[in-house]
Amino acid sequence: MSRFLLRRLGWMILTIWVVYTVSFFLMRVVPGGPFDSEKVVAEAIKRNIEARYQLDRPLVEQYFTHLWHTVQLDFGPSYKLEDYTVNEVLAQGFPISASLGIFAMVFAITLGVTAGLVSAVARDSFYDFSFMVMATLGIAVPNFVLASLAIVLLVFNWQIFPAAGWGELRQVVLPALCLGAPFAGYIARLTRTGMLEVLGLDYIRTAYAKGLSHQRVVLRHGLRGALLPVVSYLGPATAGILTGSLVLEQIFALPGMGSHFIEAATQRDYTLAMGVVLVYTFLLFVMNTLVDISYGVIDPRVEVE
Amino acid sequence: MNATTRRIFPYLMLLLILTALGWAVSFGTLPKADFTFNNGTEIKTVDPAKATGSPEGRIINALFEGLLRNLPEKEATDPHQVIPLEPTTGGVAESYQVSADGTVYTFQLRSSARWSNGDPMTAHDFVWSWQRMLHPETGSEYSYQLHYVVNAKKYNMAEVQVGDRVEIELKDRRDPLQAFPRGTLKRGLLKAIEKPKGSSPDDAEEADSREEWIYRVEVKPTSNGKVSWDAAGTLKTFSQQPTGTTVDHSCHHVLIDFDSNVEIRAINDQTLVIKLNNPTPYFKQLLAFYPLYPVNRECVEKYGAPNWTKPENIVTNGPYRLEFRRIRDRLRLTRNPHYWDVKNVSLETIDALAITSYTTSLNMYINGQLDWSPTMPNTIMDLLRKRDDFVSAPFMAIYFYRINVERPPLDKKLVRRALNLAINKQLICDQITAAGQQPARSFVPPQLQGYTGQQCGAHDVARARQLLAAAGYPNGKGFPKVQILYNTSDSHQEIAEFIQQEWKENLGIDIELRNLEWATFLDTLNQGDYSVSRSGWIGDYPDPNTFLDMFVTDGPNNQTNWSNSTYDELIEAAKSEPDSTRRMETLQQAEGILMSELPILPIYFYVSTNLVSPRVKGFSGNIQDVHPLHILRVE
Amino acid sequence: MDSSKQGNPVTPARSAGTALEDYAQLLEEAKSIQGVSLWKDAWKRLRRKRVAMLSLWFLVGLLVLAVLTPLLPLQSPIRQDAQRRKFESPNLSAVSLLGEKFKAQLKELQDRQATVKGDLRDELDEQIANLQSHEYQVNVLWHQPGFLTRGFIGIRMAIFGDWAIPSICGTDNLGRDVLSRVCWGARVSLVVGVVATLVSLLIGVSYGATAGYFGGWVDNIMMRIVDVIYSVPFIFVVIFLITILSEDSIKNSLESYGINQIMIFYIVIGAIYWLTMARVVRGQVISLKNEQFIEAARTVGCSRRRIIFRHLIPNVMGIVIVYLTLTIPAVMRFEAFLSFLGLGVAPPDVSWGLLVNQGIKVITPLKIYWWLVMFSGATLAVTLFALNFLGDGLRDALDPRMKNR
Repeated sequence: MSRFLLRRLGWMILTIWVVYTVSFFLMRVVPGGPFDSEKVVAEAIKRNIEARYQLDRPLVEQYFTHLWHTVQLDFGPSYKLEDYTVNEVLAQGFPISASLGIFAMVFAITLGVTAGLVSAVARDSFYDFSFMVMATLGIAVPNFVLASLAIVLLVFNWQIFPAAGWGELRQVVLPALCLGAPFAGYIARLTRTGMLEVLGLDYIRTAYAKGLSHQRVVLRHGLRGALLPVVSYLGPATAGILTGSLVLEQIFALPGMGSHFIEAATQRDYTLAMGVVLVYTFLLFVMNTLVDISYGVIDPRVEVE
Repeated sequence: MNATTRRIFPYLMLLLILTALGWAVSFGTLPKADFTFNNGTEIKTVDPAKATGSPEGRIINALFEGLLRNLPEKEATDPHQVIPLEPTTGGVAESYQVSADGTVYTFQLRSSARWSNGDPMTAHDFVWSWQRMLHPETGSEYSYQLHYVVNAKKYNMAEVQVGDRVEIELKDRRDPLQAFPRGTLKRGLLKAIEKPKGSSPDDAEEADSREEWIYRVEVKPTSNGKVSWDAAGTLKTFSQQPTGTTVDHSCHHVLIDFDSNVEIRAINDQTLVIKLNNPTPYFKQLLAFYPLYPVNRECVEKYGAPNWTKPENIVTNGPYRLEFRRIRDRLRLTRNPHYWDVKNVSLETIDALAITSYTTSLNMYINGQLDWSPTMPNTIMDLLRKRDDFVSAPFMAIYFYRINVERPPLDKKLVRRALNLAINKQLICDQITAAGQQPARSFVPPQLQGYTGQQCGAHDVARARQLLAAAGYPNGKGFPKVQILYNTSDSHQEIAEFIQQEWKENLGIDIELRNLEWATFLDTLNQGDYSVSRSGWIGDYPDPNTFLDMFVTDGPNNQTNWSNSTYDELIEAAKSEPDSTRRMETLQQAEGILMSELPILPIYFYVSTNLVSPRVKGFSGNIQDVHPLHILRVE
Repeated sequence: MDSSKQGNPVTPARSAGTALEDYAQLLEEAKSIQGVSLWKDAWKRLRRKRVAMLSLWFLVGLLVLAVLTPLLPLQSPIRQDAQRRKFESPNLSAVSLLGEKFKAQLKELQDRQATVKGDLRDELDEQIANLQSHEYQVNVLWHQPGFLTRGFIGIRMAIFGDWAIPSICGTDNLGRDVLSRVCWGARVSLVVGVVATLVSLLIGVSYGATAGYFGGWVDNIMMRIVDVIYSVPFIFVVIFLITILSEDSIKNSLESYGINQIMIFYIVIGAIYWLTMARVVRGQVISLKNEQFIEAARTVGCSRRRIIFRHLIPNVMGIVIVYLTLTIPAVMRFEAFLSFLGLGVAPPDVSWGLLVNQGIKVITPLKIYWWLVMFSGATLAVTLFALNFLGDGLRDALDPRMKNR
């Protein structure tokens, strides 16, 4: 187990290092790039950058100095915002994105598993059909189209939710729903398939034969096996939620890391963009590792190596 | 993996998920403020000396306070009323007198005026703040507002002549990157300036070689902080070059001595005397305008820029303190208990949101999340105008396009005129902005008394094509691709797209669009890194000069690289002209030159549009669209 | 019995004749039996799935529509007329291609022409001639049409003249017809989808095939690289790349090499999706590698390169096609995503993502311009659906385990 974690850590460090190196060289070597000495930059920002990056030093020295800073989690000043460092922007944006992502994930899992379960148990019924149709809809329709439809219906027509911004719990609900919908759909499908497979297995028949109630069989014995594909899906689901949040934060005016990243992209704020990319890589790795560990714990057949 | 671990694992995961959920919930909540409004964008800074925009102005007006304060003449009972603003003694100054010839202003400051850390305010605060604002290294874009004061311009432009009393800042600053606190100051009489051999009297080159000049100064002795100008001094040489060369000391700046030359004097802690070059009728308005607001010396010197503006460090003297600032989200202001008039400030907390999308702003307003929205989408303006909570007033402001006249082919006057004539401004006002705006053919808006704006050509596509052909681009052939820059906002994009199409259809030229966030946009303009850019200007005071003196050569708000010496002379002459009719005529002449050369393309004159919730009291309209936050009440 | 056999389904009864006659009869029968290739088999299976076939026909229709768009009598996708045609809801009122705006412009000029003389008169004449010229009209009504497109447009104008389909999908905030924008947007979205997928195909297939064929440490390293890249949230890196490449100075230097923004787009998007393709192809190649026919080829003396490209890759095509149909929607979705955020296609070009973005921006509680979001959103959603269903159907159809069922 600890060996597994160590190896994972090793991979993560390698990956982050690769991303860092590629970005570093892209930003410095390309002519006319952000650190080009001839670049026209505002006075105050120029001062910040020169103080931090020592652009007159040889490239290799810069590389290692900046690497050292980055390892200490100091991402430097923002390239476009005079008053802020990248760390400050990330620190402000992260909690909002995290809360949005967590709500979306919880919603996706709860709704997805329940729908999949009901579908599997009430197979080929009306519920099954309608749930699966909704699941397919959720998966195929891009989340910003879904969000706009949701806004038209739920915010303006029926006025259930507020339009944008954050500050009250109500304001996170609609974005989380839109963000989690495609994943809920996928999880519902996976649960249904998994459930159907498991329910056909011998040990389930044994459980019924033993006289256990329907509920107990399904929930206590069947669910565990059915959840395996769902658990392994959580890794890509996190990646998807991180990506999806980019668009939804824009639509709902949530000042999270995703919207800062998009702003950094449109405003060409390179240091901020790089900082966000590194953070997201790290998050994804952590999530994937957690998922692999959980998988190994849940399924005794799997050796976590 | 033993069995017990496996058994408790799901519960562990459940616990983890619940904790995560709890944490997420805690971050999703923020206590609601008494009053929330949309400031339209993430502001660039709260430093009065560094800000230039009106979103910054709204915040600075709440955080800081100047000698005088712009307030509505009378109390508003209905937001639809248009009540002019007056620079009143509702600020730090309790009373003031103006000399008979209008050049000497004497202010008596309130003894109850305090900073937000409890320290009393004194006249010295103003002297120091204005010195900082005029100091060339601060790079204030509004420093020219103080040029009316005797010798202030010389200080600001770092002009020194032989025989002047000078102050020299040595290179021993506590932090070399911060202008304040300054290094050791030496004062003396400038005896000679040695310029490097072969330097021509050409202005541009001279400025470049300034670093190599050697100043011979007779340094006067100081005792107890007072300089003895009459005593004999010692001759020393100074230069901006590093030490170890041919000079005695290396210095950062050699400027005329502020204390003895610039006529901003603190007679005592409570009295401030200012002497102007000429009687300037709008000087009172300038004093109530935010670039001249004071900043706290200790705070700035201790933390340096920009850290002193952080909520945990900043010290302000206005009705509100800065509680926190969340990027691209909001700024929270809370009532300053040390404010001298705190009992008349009704709102405890105010949130200024930074929503750039007009539609989102409107949606949040209708949803009740905003009490005041100064922005709204143009597309449904006709619907909005019929609402009771829609407040509109004539606005002394112009929407125009700046042209960087150093970038070919925009350096040709004919091309700029062609571009101007090809735009159907009436259509923009009727169809795109749709709130009653007026197409603009002059630069100065029509609301000013005694002044008639000079006009450029009217919409005429045939003539535009003729001019473009005469400039060497018949039918637009060979015209290089030009980019229109604008700050992120729906209506700027619409107008830019429209003009893109107009120029394409009428002149046959290809245009690219580029948008930047507000702060970056301002910086880019400042750097001159654009070809054509959307701009707007709100008059700082009700006088044509606020519009016209932007475009003097190298004016910080010029940003077009346009320079015309006759124009400069006329503006300068107007400043010292005592007769108001003749003054207006001189300004009109200047505007005539501006409209003929067209370094800017006037598009339309604004109309202020606001959506104000009926529960807000104390709101009224005025031609500057300034709405002081501390006089608002909410029911 | 083998039901895919064409010809005689019944075992021939043993004739009482000689062995030679038996053999002759068998030979006859053998000739009449037609074998079935993988493709025919798959096609038959696919035809049975109604949803997949519906999707196929829909996509074919969409493709044809997209290719033929310049020929269709649609209105201009870029011409603005904020004065007269702003925010029209879907309607059937007659419209002209050149638009009321053009007619008004022409009339105004002609009125002036009558009253003016001399220099200005010449200028007006020139302007009127220009307005009526084909070249000007094409440039104003469509954005930088390429050579073939211009040809199509020419034919369209010759056949239909000034008539255009009315705004059955309404108009947007600047008076532009939504139907024509959706059609022209289809071209961009589909082209980006197809080209970027082809790029990913090229890279992915070669990479995967090489890794699978060589095996050993080469395979190990190559797959490790894929693993590392896979764990990076690639979309963010791509956006970061686009940020750097859109920097004005860099963009200009790239344009001087002939690479414009949209090409960078293709390459960069294609660069994300090759990973799955590479993995899948590698897996397939590894299982094929040990087949007899590869042994045979090697024995005969084929070079490695020939084996990879001539024998392995064609046999991998089945699974590649499945993944192709699953990658195209992912790419289109990503392009819509980027255009929605303002990082993709720039105005005056149109793409579905951009249309949805423009639609959302004007939704307010006071007035919901549903047609601005619905048509582009629905088209995008339905296309992605169709691609997904088709991909699922193809996957089932091409599944070798399902052969002859």
